[in-house]
Amino acid sequence: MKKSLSTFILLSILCITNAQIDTNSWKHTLPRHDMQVSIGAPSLFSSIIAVGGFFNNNYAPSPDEWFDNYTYKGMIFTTGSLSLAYKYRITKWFWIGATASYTGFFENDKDQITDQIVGGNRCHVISIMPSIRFSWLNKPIVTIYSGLGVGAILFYNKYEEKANDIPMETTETYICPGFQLTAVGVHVGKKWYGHFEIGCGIQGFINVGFGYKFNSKNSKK
Amino acid sequence: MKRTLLLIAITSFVCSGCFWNKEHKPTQRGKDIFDCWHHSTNTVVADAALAFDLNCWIVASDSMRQVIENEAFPSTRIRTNDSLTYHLYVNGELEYLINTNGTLLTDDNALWSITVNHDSDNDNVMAFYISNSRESHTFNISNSDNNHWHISGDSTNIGGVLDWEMYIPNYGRHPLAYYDFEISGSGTFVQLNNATDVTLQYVIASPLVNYPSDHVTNSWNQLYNNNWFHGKAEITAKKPHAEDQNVTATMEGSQVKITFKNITETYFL
Repeated sequence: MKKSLSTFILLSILCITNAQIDTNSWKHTLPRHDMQVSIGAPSLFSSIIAVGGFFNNNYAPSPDEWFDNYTYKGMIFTTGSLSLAYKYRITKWFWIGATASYTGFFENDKDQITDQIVGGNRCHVISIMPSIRFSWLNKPIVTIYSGLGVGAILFYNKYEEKANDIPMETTETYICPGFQLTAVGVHVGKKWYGHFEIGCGIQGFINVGFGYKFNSKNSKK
Repeated sequence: MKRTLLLIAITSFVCSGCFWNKEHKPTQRGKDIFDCWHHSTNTVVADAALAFDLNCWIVASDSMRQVIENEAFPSTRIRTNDSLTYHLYVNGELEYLINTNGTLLTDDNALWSITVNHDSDNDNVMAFYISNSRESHTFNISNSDNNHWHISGDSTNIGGVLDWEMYIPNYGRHPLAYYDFEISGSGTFVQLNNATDVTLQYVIASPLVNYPSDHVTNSWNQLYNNNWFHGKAEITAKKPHAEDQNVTATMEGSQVKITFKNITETYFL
């Protein structure tokens, strides 16, 4: 009798346990947490704001400028738009999270005759945006989605030059609203994945990178 | 998967590399100074050409006057009350006042005075020009010898000087744009309608040579946008308390060699 009772209790527990794990639920097959690192072509917006004159460098200088320091602007180097994002899947198709991004622009002023660096412009563009994502294809290996982030952008610009051989430094900082609209994004991979996004906004037109999807210990329950 | 990761790596590299290369032209400032000088010189030439074209118009028959008006004065009305002073209205505005003193430019004692009222380049940084005032300026043309004319002006109050010799070997009954001509001399351009103290002093080291084009449609416009077939000019931009900026420009049709700070580069005009 004792043995029968023990067997019954054990079977009951197993049944209850099995009933709690719904193997057909998305919570079982799809991870809820998503961390991703991306790099994108710097957006036109941040490029114009940061480098300002880079469409505007061919203007004819006024006669007074003929007597200024004789320099030219060197190549502009940008880090691209580097971003770190976290998303949490609330439902099968809807995610919320946040994205932080950084884009740096670096440009040197060089002496026209000696080609030595005599100053330059360093611009840092940082954005923080709460974001949402709609995933409209949810397979264990492939996810296709769209998304939107809206937040704030911080611009910090430092300009160094020499005026009559005296080094001078000018800085400016300002904040403005920004966004990132992801028209289409694709994840390919199971836990570790690569991704590719097309959109517009502070993170640029094209974004690529990699990420990691995972479930916390309690998230399957 | 390997391919995907490789693609991501390459794209990342391309994105982060984003360089915008800017052309390094050590003589760019010299070219900017030359452009100002070139523009100003052509403006004087085009204005002087009006006098030569008017001279043709004065001696022409009525039917020939119509041809000259179409070619040299397409949007200009010529008016005179006394055959001494001619008023040239461009699009209804009195822009040129030419006093012939009763002579033709081909006369030995010719002395014409040309007052230019237009200031269409007010907002243009290239608007260096000899000027008696901020709004109008006058220069003179006199017949010096055998198809040579002296073009001169002196605005002592602001430093503009014009001292040119113009040689037109075959000057006749057509607008100036039909003829070869050369210019030599020197001068100083000051900036019209602008408060800067910058001046352009120049010497024409080798005569500026103009050959006529095969097809003349509007002589004024053609000369205003003229590229010299040959010529060399030494130009100095000056500003009080600042280092002089010296430029040597050697012109060959649509090219100019600019020498600035001992570096020579060639530009297409």
